[in-house]
Amino acid sequence: MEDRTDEVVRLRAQIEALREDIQKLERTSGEMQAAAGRHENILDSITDRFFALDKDWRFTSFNKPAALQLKALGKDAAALIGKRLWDEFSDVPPAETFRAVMRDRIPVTHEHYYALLNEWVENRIFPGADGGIIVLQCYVTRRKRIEGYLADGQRLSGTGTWALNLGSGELFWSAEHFRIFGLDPEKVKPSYPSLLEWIHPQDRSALQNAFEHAVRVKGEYDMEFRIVRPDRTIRHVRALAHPVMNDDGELVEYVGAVIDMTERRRAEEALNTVQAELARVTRVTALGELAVSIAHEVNQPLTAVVTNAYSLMRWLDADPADLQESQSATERIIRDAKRASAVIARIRAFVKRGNDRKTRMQVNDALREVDGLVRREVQAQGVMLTLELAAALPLVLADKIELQQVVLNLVLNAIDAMRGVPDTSRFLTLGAEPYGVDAVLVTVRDTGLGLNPHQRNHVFDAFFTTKPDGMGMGLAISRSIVEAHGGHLWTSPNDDGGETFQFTLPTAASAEC
Amino acid sequence: MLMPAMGTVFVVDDDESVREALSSLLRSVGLRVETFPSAQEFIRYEPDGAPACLVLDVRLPGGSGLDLQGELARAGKDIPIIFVTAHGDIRMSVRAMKAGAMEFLSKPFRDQDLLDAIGKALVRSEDASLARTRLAELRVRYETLTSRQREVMGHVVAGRLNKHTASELGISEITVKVHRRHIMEKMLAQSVADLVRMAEKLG
Repeated sequence: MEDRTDEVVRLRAQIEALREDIQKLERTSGEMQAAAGRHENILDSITDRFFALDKDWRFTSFNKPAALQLKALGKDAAALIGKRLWDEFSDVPPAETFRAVMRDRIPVTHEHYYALLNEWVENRIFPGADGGIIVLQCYVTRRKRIEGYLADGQRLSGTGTWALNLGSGELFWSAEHFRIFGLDPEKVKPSYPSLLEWIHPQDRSALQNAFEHAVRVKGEYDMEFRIVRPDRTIRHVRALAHPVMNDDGELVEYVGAVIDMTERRRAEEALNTVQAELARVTRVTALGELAVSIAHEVNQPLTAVVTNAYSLMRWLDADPADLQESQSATERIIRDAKRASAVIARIRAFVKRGNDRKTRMQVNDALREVDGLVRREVQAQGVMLTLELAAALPLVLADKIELQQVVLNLVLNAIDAMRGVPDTSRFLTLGAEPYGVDAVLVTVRDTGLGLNPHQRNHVFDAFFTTKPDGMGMGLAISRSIVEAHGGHLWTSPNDDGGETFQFTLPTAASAEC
Repeated sequence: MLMPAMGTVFVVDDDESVREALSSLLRSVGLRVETFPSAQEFIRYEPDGAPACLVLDVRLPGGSGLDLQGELARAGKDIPIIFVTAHGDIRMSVRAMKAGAMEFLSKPFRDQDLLDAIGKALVRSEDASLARTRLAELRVRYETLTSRQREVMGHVVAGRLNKHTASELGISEITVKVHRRHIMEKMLAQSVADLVRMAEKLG
């Protein structure tokens, strides 16, 4: 009995334990069911389509979006469970990718155009725990379209984009960026040092200086330079860069665009050439017509003067001399000489009136425009141009075109003067500041070779030049323009080398009183 | 250069000072001068046939001097032209010279250059005028011939023998000889060769 009782107790304990196990199992099963339900809910609530295949390519599950998609294709998801993929779908575009994941057990993301749905889809394919594969599929048509627009936009506008990671020195280029540089994205890995090699040697240091300056001040930059493609053709590009800072304000990256300016540049150059030619022809024609007109207007009275003088000699030479005729001839000589003089005075007055186009204007505006005009030339010559324009300058009374001719002439001279110094020390400063209370001082300072004392004494003389192909008229004309404005133009050496040309312009207030 | 007596110089220039000065210069060497401010006014002027030349400015209001040159040639007014211009180019002077201009001078010119050109022009004009006078006299003489005499003269200058002329005209050879003598007398011809030259001039 004793034994039986023990047996019963033991059995009861076992039953109890079993019941606990069962309860535990029931709990676990409930939890598992709940978890499975939750997973199902999660899978159903995501918008991506989900389906799983076992190792024999049989469908094991679908989420709701997948079932809906199948329905749209005329298939019943529930009926597909247990069916083999290859039996149901003869044409599976990423078949090779599916097979690769099944074989290699490595996740793959793959995009393809699904013609039946007229959509671009992205399949993320994972190896499943049961030895099969799991596929998450989403529509990416919209993204693909935007990417396409972007690429088309880049191609059509000749604009490439890039990003430079300042920590790693890595450079990322868009496809259009590669195309502009004539490089193959498959073969070339761009970097900042390799970038410099593709820049035209004459523009390299200017670009490097500008970029390094931008990095120092964490600023933007906007540069035009030339690149040399592998096939040795030269393209003009403009690069814009925008700094990207982290939360601590440290510069981490530059993002930017590179724009192919070659065609625009070519068109501009053609336009400039045509305009310059037109201006030249117009000027020459106008001068030619003026010269012919002056020649005739002045020549007639001069012819009369000369002819009267000849006849005067003959009347005096006659025997006896005809004093009355001599008197008349002399009077005609005086009258006609005065007439010739009056013609010249009239022309002078006309020329003066034609050129007097003075308006009240801001010197700084005129200088900024000159800066815009010479910017390309300045960069091409490896010169750093700095504007030092005092704020709130008084207005001057000036002919803007003439004023700009003077400044342009001084700037181009300065650039020429710096050809003989290394391009790392070519600095040009264009400045404007008040000069006393009733004038503005314009300064053009270079770090070129400077003038010797003899040159400085004669540099404003007409036909004096220090250039092999110079006319020697630029500074003479400049000085006469400045003086016609009531100002002075002079030059002086810099303490640290180079030359400074300066001129004054009276303020409009003082010029008008 | 010796100036032909009674030569007249016509001056066409739009500039009064130039006209006055030229007039004074030409009068100082004893030339007759007539000045005109435009081509139109000169065209209206009928020259008297005495030796003359024209000093003509290339640039004139209402048509160039070159146009006037062409107009005079078309009108048969044979007058030597000396062009003067303030802005002559080679093409213009070549055109003027080809059209028969005597000279092409740039203003202002040397007095002697102009006077030499005028002298040459007046000599040419005088020669032409003399030739015209002689032709006129010849015509007057020819007019005095009878119609029969003119007929006979035609045969003589054609080199026909008297007997051929006689048989063709149906007259005797003697009569032909009489006509010949009268023709020679009336035309003041020294020889048959002389008469042939006269016939050529009469055309």
